[in-house]
Amino acid sequence: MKKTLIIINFLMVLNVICAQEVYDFQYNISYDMYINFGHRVLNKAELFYSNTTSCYVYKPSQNYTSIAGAYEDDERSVAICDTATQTVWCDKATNEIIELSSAGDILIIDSIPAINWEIQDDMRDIDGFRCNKAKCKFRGRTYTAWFSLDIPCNWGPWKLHGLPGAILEAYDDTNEISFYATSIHRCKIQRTKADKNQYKQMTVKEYLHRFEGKFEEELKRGLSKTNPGLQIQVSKVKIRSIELEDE
Amino acid sequence: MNKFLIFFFFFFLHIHIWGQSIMGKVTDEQSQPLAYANVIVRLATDNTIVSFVQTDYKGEYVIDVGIGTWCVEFSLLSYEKTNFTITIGEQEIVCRDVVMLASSFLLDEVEIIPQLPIQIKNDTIAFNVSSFLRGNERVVEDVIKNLPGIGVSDNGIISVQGKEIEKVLLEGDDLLGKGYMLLTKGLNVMAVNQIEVINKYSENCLTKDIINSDKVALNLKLDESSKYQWIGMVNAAVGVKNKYDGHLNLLKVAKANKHYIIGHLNNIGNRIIDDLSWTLNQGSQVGLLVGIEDDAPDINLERYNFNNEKVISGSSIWHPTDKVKVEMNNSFSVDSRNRICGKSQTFNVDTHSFTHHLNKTVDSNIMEYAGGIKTNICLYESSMITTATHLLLKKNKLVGNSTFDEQNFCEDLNNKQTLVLQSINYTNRLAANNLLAINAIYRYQNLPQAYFVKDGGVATENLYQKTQTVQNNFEVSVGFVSNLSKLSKIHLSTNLLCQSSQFKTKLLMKEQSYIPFSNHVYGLSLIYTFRSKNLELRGGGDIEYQNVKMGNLIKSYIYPIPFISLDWKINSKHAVKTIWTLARKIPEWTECFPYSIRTSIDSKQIGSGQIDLLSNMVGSVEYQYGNWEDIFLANLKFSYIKDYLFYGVEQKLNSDYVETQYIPLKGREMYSISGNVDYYISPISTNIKLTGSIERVFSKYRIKNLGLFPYRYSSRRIGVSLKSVFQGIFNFDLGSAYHSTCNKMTHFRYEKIHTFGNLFLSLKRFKMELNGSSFYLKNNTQHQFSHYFFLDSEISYNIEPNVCTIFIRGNNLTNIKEYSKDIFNEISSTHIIYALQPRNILIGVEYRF
Repeated sequence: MKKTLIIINFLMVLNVICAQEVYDFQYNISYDMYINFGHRVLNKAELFYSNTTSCYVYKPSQNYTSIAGAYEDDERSVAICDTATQTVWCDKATNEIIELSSAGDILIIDSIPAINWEIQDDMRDIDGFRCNKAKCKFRGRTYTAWFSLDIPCNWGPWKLHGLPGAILEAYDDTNEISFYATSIHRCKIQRTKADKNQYKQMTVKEYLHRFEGKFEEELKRGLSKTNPGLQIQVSKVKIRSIELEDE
Repeated sequence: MNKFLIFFFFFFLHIHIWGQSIMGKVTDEQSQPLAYANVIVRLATDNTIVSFVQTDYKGEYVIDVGIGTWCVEFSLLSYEKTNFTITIGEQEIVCRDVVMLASSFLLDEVEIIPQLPIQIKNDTIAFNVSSFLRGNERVVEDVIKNLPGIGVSDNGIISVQGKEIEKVLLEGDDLLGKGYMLLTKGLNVMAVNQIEVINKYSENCLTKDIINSDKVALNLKLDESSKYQWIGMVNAAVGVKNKYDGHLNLLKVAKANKHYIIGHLNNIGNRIIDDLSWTLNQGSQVGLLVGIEDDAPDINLERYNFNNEKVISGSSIWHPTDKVKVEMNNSFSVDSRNRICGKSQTFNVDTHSFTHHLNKTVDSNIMEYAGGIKTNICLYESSMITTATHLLLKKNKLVGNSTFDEQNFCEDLNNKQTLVLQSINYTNRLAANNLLAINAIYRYQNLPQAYFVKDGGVATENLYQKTQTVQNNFEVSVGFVSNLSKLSKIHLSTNLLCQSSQFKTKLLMKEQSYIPFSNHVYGLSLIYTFRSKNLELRGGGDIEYQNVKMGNLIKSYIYPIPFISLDWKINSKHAVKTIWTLARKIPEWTECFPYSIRTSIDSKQIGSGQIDLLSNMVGSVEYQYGNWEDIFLANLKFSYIKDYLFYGVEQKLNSDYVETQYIPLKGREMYSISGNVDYYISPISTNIKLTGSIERVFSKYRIKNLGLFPYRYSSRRIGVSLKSVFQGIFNFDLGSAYHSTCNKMTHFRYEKIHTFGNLFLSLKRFKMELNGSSFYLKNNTQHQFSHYFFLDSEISYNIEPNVCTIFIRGNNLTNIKEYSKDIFNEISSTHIIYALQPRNILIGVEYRF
């Protein structure tokens, strides 16, 4: 009996250890990531990568708690900035992109999208690195990226993967999203990917719908408590996000 | 049978899918497959990337290519790059396995300075030039026009958020002062990496953080590949009827010196710089009394300027030692200009009205030289001496053939100008928080003008006149500034100005008249500044004693000039600026002298004969919402000016000329409201701009023997423009503006509707630009609008990108022959028609090195 208990305990411990996956990364590229939805917010970002896996972490560089309200006729718009740390894992072996917000209990899981990059003829130097230009349409935006073949790296900032060199600069055509590399370091870093089983899992599409619906519901609840005789209609709640579409 | 059909189906499908392909397996030295290795296919001739894939988890790859010779490259982290070259024929499938050797990636750890489109650091906003290129830019001025918040006028004057800039620096050095358009219209745009807008610009680095400046300057930062060697551009174009346009500029920027040479010649109406004296950067000078050219129309200069201009200019900066900097510039210009216009001037006086008609052709020959040398010597770390010597020589001969109310006249005007400036400045940063500045300036100016008119070939007695203005100015000022604390500072200065002018005039057969004019000013200035994180409050003023002498008339005045200003950034979105001041000044001596001077064939001018102290109050409030990086930006400004005592005019109407005398009057008011809104429409990558302004003037004037009359002036302007920033092959600018001005007393109204459209097409090496501009003009005496439509175009082809370009340029393709303009004053309205340059087409080549 005693022997059996020991074995079971050991297996249980082993199971817990194996649930958290640990990855080794050899290189790290730092980015300044700008999100401009009416007000430009700087996010400090790090991309850790190896040949098979990448981990992209970003967070606003200041504590933005601003809630801006603007009045236009009878409409009111409210902007809330997400100040949490976001992490995006990509694993070629499992063909998965996993997105985790430190403020939430939701894991967004998707397959690694095949981005159809078009290489252009333009070239330019970015701080001594000879860069080629590429464009693609991804999740509702058209991105332009400058990448350097001198740095073999298939991974890009956020989810902009698939180019044969490291992306040193990328932006979309509305200038709402932009990335600028600020340094490249060799590193020997281990990072632990969170256990999927501990979170509620959703696809990108489900997540966008859930967030829209949740906010609309909360707004309706609040407005339902206004004085009788006051009629307020909630028009469509538009969420401005890096991903505008789910495909 | 079915099996055969299936077999042949897949066989042909195989051929259709693959066509030409390269496939294989990538392994390491131990024959282990290498997953996710990059496979890149390039053209063997010029290394252009054609296609790329990654190996799968088994290390295998397949890549489709066309027929030809290709270079296939393999890369993977921790492995050495490898490649092979291969020639593929039609429907050929090549198998190539590759072994990659392990190697630690030798990339050093690097810090990268990101090239953001816009970076803001303290008072400097830096624009990354490559982010604002749309493909049709040639010179620096072309990309400056694309920068948000920056405007460029037709004559090259740059303004930032509506405020004119002081200068354009090159790598921190000033080569050309206010004559910077010689640089911005000549320098190749590809040589410039970044353009900085420097707010609160001060030429003297020792005054930084001590003296608040509201000046703005631009600084051009060159691409590294453009430094330490001569770079330049040569541009030559010829057209029909002997039209030509040529341009050359050379630039060298090294660590210890900079040199810039520009040469320009053309007869298609271009003028690279309006006035060479702008390169001297020495502020305003005495103006000319007599002029025979009429006001210019409000269209591009090259449309109505018949010229034959040649300009050459050279500027250099040396640093012979770490403590000494020497700046030198020399510019020379000759031009032969011709202007043709006809005007009808209608006078409305009381119940009477009459009209004069004047048709005129003016030929002018101008020769001009401007040069100077400036030396900065750093005595110690905290003190500096600057000396400057400038010389301007100008000669202009104008001949005008006129028909005035059916009578023929010939006007002859000879102008000369000599200007010598000598200045010396000493600055000492006594401590971190204290500054002492001593300035001394001497200015000598001589302006002789000889004007006569021949009537039927004979000089008329009343129309032969020689005038000469000689001016000597000497000015000394001593200033002391102290930062009392981190938040506040005091600025105390005293200055002495001694000014002496002489004016001589001689009319044919009459004695020469001579009048001396001298002005001595002693002033004391005290300014207090309070500054916190979001707020700057300044207040103070000057006390001045002025002693003015004109002939036997002597007047002395003591007066204060107070002011207060507030600059408040309420939060990240809202900002307010306001300023109020009570100003006083003595009139210009040309407004005072008591003699009658002929200023053109149909006008005379007399000064007041008095020396009055003029005064006015100026107040303005400006509100701004948003910043550079925001999608929405708005600006609103309100200004109010009240003149307590000003110089108005008394008009006397004679049969063939109008005599205007300056007289002191009380009570004139002006207010204006202007605003603009910028909004970036993301889905169509386009910025929409709305502008509007209203201006009102309430004044008065006198008519000889009839008394004082009120004058009401009104102006309204509203406009909208769209500017695209597509990343593709096509871009556009569209806009329209309505402007109306009105003399509310005579009910004369003038309206203008200006609509423009610019289309830009950029397809690899081929570029095309089409500019259309439409004007609808009307005054209230006309029943319908006059319409003018101008069309210009340019097509260019880059034979070698950024090196050689050929182009065809067409100006005034619709061949509009004339253009009209209406102006009015208190008692008259004038309709002027200008002759325009005809259609011309030029073929040219541009070479950059």
